[in-house]
Amino acid sequence: MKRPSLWAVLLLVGLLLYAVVLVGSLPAQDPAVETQRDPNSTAEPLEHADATIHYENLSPSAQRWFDDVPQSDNQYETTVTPIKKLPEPWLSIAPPGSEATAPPTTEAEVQRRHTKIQRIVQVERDGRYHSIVLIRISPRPPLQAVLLRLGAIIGAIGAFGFGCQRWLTRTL
Amino acid sequence: MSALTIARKEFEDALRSRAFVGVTMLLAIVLVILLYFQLYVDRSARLSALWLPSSIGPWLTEQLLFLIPVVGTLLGYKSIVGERESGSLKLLLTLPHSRRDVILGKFLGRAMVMVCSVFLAFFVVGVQFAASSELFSITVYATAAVKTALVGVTFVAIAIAFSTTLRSSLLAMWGAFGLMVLFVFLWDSVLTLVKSFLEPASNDSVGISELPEWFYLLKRFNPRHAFADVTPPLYDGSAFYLEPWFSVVILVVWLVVPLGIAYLHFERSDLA
Repeated sequence: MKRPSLWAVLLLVGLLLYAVVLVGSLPAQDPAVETQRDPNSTAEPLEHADATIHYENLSPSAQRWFDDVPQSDNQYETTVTPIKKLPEPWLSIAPPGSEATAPPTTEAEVQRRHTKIQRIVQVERDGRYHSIVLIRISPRPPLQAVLLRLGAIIGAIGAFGFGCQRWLTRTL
Repeated sequence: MSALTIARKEFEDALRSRAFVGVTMLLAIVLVILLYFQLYVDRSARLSALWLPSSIGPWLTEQLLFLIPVVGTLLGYKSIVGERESGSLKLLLTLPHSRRDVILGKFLGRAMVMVCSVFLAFFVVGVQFAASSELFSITVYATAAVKTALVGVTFVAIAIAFSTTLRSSLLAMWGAFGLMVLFVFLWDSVLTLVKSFLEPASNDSVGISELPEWFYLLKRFNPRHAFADVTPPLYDGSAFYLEPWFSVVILVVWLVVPLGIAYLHFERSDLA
């Protein structure tokens, strides 16, 4: 019985890997809110705040959530909470996000969407105003899943390449 | 016709010598890594709902253009000097080919390798991109592929010009390395130094520039930046050489002038 050529096997492996990635999808992530608290409180209320909350009126869980938000100017020091896990009234205050699912097509639309994904809220506590920024984000997929998919595509490209080269060497 | 015969042979040689497959694989792998990084790994991916599909193509081209000078130079640097050293150039010229045919044929053949590799790599990755993201736009993606291929062809031309004027592979290799360093690192570094003398640093952050317009022309004259918008965001100048169409002029200059000079040198040189 004639054995299949190596180039044919490589091309088949490449095609299979390519198709697996093409058909499969990365696990969908629930929308979340990225938050950061200004480390400097003010005596006067902020003019550009979207909402003002009194700390005493918050439920214990909402107070705890507020207290746990990192206080920093560094944009990398934030906390990410899935929308569903936000305690009230933070859940109601959280930015609604854009209803549109298709990507924006103009800069003006980007600006419009930007206003829908960000909220600046100030919390009044002991006569001081603490501002907190809530940004609605789409969390990135797990790195493991991304690397697995990327590895499969690179494998497909490699198998295609070596298969094609063997075929070209035989044919030309 | 004679140049086309040489071009065809060059292309077939590249297919046999793994150059074509190697370059295509390298470009496709780098492209897919860049795409995955931008779509799923980079911190900015969490705000992908704010991305314009038109921003992905230029970003990919910009990143890929770090690699293209290397690939273009490697494809072209040994094309003529290698044959000159081995003696096969003399043999080639005993056939009814003129020296102009040799340079033109070598350039066309290697340029075809670059163009086909870029298009194939973009196609393989593009199918995955289209299937997995709504940010895919065929027009933007195809434009990015064409721009990358054109810049690649320019670097092939520069490398072949180098290969034509030098007499040893070792010199050509160092020349090619020098070219890569010049276009990938040195050009921008020297311009940054020039910029520090021309402009106070404080103005740069607000996008208002006091730099003379010729500075942007110099920056753009690097084939890597030919298609890039090198002016600051609030730039309101009207110099014709900073218009988008001028990128074609820059690339044509880089295609014609080095090859032209190399041809004139080659026409007069002794092959012995």
